[in-house]
Amino acid sequence: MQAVLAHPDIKEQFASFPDLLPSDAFKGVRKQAMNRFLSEGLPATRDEEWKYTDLSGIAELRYTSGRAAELTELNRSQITASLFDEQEYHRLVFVNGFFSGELSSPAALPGGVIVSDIASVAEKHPALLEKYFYSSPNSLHALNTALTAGGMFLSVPDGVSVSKPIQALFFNTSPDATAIFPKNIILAGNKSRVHIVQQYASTEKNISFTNAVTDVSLGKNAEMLLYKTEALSPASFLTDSCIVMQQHGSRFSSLVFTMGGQLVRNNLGITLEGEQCETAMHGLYLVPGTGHTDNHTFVDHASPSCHSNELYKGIIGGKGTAVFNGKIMVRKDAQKTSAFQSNKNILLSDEGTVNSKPQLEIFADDVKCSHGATIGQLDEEELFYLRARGIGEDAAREMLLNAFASSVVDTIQIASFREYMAGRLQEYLPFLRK
Amino acid sequence: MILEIKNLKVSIDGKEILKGINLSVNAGEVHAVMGPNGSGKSTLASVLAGKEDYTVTGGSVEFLGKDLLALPPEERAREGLFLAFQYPVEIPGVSTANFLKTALNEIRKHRGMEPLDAMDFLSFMKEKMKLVNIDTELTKRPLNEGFSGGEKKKNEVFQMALLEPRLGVLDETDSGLDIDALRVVAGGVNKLKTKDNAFVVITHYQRLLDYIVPDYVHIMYDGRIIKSGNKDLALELEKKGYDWITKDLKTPA
Repeated sequence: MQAVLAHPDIKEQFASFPDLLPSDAFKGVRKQAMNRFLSEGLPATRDEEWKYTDLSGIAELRYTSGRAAELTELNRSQITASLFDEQEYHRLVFVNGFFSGELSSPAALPGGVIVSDIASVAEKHPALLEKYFYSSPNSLHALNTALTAGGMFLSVPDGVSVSKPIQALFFNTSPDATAIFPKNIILAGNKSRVHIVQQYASTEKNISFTNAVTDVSLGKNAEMLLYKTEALSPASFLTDSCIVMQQHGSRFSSLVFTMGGQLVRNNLGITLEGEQCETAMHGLYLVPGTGHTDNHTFVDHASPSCHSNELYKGIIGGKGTAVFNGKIMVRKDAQKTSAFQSNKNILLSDEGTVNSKPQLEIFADDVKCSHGATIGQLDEEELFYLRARGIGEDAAREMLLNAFASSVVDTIQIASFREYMAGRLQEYLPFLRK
Repeated sequence: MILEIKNLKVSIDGKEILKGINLSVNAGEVHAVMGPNGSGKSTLASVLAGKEDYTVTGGSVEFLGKDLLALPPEERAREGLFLAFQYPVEIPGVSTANFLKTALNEIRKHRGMEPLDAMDFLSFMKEKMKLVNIDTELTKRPLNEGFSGGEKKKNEVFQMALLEPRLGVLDETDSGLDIDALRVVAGGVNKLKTKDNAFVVITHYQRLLDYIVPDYVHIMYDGRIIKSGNKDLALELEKKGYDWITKDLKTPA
């Protein structure tokens, strides 16, 4: 059966993409994954999970793999400007989907930590990756498995604390439509600790479809910060799936900060497998008048005595559209669960749209859960107060929006990154018009 | 002349609230506007500051020779008009100090002055804080958030001190204040008074006028100023109540 008749062409395109992973070890599983994608195609809006996010625009482009894209001096300086201080961060840089050894700065890491590109791990130590090229849960995940040519591989052994954060930057520069498939694997051993900043960025003229997958596992009592920024050109598409498994007593904190892009879909799925886990999910989406941002989160309380806390905020300009779907599952045995969720949105015009849907499925009886969603406009009384003190209308709006968004930025636990994001927020607000 | 209001008529949602106000304020003067609830006192203050919910249906307002009603609220503030709000809004996430620095520098820019940097602003702010006896802690908190009623009103007068307006309009700044806070607020206004600026003090009660002594008192009723006089008028009003003034109006004019 042809599931998605509307996009026959995109299947042909991706079916004929070259296999750019330098390893034969995954040919079989990649072929299977491609077949899965070919039979299902891109998700369609009749699928409940994709009701408000229409991917048909992705199929209207002709893609290249990004392999041959030339890097100009301008591109180089744009990328360099996005890099954090190498004294403070370990850096992994991917340009148009491919690892750049030249721009990366792998510093000496404490005992046994591996920070690398999955392409070189696939080449030299394929056994390390076998578990992560698995049978895919859906067609976009399958497409990623079939075509990935790079991504971050990070492994932190038991008891090791990585003192500097790791910056993994995916920068797209190609002016021709490129499709890239980053696959990231992050493994934190028992009692380990690691902080990661994952970034998807592009030049202003870039046209790309990024379909990323990040597999995260936290061992017992591990601690991880995983902060993601998505700052893409107005013609870019991004679909991202982050799958997190937490063992007993582990603590995970995530941030997804989206600004711009034509269409961005973030799936974040967290399974609390062990008891006494903590998980925090923070999100901020700044959607310009031409953009669409969709955040689907799912936290699965599969064990007792875990705590989850979620705060997503959005500002939607012009005719922009946003979706928030936050699912919390509390399984029958997950007693003493506490789970909180909040989604707040500001629409800057009458023409914007937000679809916010909390979804709580609770099968245990001794739990504390709450959720709330708001969609509103800037407060006219507040705006008038600021203007009555001499602050111009645009500046007053920005001041209020900054105040609204800063409660998410303030959750960032890496001081230098928090300041950087506060600055990015400030810079981006003028692009959000009524 | 600082302010000249001529036959100002204002309505909201089609209902006429101000029915022809006339008021002239010169430099160095303090005017008190008194009146019962619903007489239009606060509407007058809001219209002067530029609140958009109101429709001006007639008359004119000149402020320092300019057509005030043609200016957006921020321009009015930059020209030197200041409204001390009756109910200052709480704005979570905006720090008081940052807000004040932005406002002050906008106004300085308009006056052709250099913006103050962080250090200069801090010492300027400290100097003005003494005027109203305001705690440094308050300026570190988000704007008005969790402030008590008295703190909010003090914060309004403190902002007025900082922004140095030509005309301060105080909209029931005394309401909800205990006598100590009232003294501080009134003392602040008295210290700010010069021969170049002016104040319009809107109040329901006479007691504020024990501390801020007005040159003129105007009584508003049903959208009009029905009686003007000197400070004795306020005392007489206090003694006899609003009925004394309004009973004459019950018969058709």
